[in-house]
Amino acid sequence: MTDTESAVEISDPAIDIDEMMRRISERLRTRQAQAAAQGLDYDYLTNTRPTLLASRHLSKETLEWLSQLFLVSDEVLTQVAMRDRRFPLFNRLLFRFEMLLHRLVVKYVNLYAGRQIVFNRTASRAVVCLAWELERAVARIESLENQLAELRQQTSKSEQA
Amino acid sequence: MLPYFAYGDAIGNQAIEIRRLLREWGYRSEIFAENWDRRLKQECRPYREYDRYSHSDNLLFVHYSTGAEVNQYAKGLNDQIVLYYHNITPADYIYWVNGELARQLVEARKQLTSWLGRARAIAASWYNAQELKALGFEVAGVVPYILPFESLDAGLKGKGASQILRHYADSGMTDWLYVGRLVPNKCIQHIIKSFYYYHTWINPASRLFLVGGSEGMEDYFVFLKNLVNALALAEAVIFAGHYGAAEGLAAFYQIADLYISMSEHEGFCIPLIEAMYYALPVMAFASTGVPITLNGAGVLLKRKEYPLVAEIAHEITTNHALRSGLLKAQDRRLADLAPSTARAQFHACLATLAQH
Repeated sequence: MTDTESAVEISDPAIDIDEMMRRISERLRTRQAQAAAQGLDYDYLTNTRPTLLASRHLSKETLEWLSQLFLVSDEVLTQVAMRDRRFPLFNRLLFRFEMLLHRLVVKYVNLYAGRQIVFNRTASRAVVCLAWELERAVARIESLENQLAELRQQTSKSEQA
Repeated sequence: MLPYFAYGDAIGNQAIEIRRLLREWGYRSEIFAENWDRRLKQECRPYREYDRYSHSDNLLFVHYSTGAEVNQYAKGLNDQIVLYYHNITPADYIYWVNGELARQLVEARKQLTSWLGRARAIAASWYNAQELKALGFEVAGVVPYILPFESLDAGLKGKGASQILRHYADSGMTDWLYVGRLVPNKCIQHIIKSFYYYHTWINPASRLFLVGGSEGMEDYFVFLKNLVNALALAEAVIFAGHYGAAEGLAAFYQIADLYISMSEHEGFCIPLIEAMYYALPVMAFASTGVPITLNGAGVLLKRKEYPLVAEIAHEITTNHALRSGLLKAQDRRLADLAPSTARAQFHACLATLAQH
């Protein structure tokens, strides 16, 4: 359970927000403990959203492709593309009928396009998360390599001494 | 002129009220729409009929909230166009439930700046005005929603309100209330999840009323129903459907103990103010236009932590000092948003627009 400070804003100076939040924090802890004692999951619905962070270790090319993923993910939707044509007598009726059919088709096409976009964005997010994990791994490797280099130096000095 | 003349929604109601005021002040005024709710058929005309009335002396208010043919049509006219900006829901929220609407929203966003230099702009809220200014528009004025308190009060005398009160009032339950369309950007699933904690761990004698329609968002409605079933809340969560002022909407405000919003996109959010009018403490997630609308009233949630939201709701409904303080602050905010004030602002804005 996260810190309850700064979770709410109440402008009335007569209300002691700190005291209220302390009470709430206490109740949250109590309920969590009660849930745990009963073998229940109090935090069942609490979830976090993955965030996109800048990378220092991935190549410029990889970062560019990652940002492209998001830019293109929603360019799937279909436009209504109709032109008004001039046929004497039947123009209005024909145009309306065609427009209706066209809209009907586009409505369902875009529904599926919308689902595709959701998949695209989810896949993009997953890839970015993996990229971030990779960056953390690379940073860890770098740190270990530096430590190793230092140890080697120290060993070398000891041997020389 | 507007893309869809909806029954009981903010833009539709505002269009009707503006027409009424303009006629009261001696102007000729009509509503033209691309599509309309069948209940409003007598209140508007098809936008193509405007060809007959178009004139360079006319002030044409184009209600802008989504992409539509009517926007392109209006741009081609010689009338003095006033872009009345109601904000555009980010398409991100809508893709997975209504692809066609998402496309229209993307289009609306792309086309908005093409109105620079072509139309003067007014905004329905101070938040919307800020957005327009950031895009380079010179905003001629803010014309706030003229809140329908009289209609809401009148609806309390009707059969609809009596049925609601008979069925739900004086039950001994603690009632949460949400009013508005069941659309993804309003994040009703977050309200349901917060209510889950309240109902399960704090107060089982509780109900959540979700009052609003889901036309065009049927997949989202199914998602919400499935969530309610998965959380075993089917007896406690009431999907009431759409209620307008005439159908007794105000009765829900009277029954409830708390109003909650977890919306992530609002240009203004009228139900927050309606809740304040009926002395209902308001708790809302601090996003987009909500903090400006509340302006220090109510409880602003900075984070969506469902157990925490549930506990704050518990405080609001049991801590009399807190409740009383909140209601006093809400009354002060309500005074700023009185219908008479909004009408005066519209009148002043009209004078500015008519001068040019």
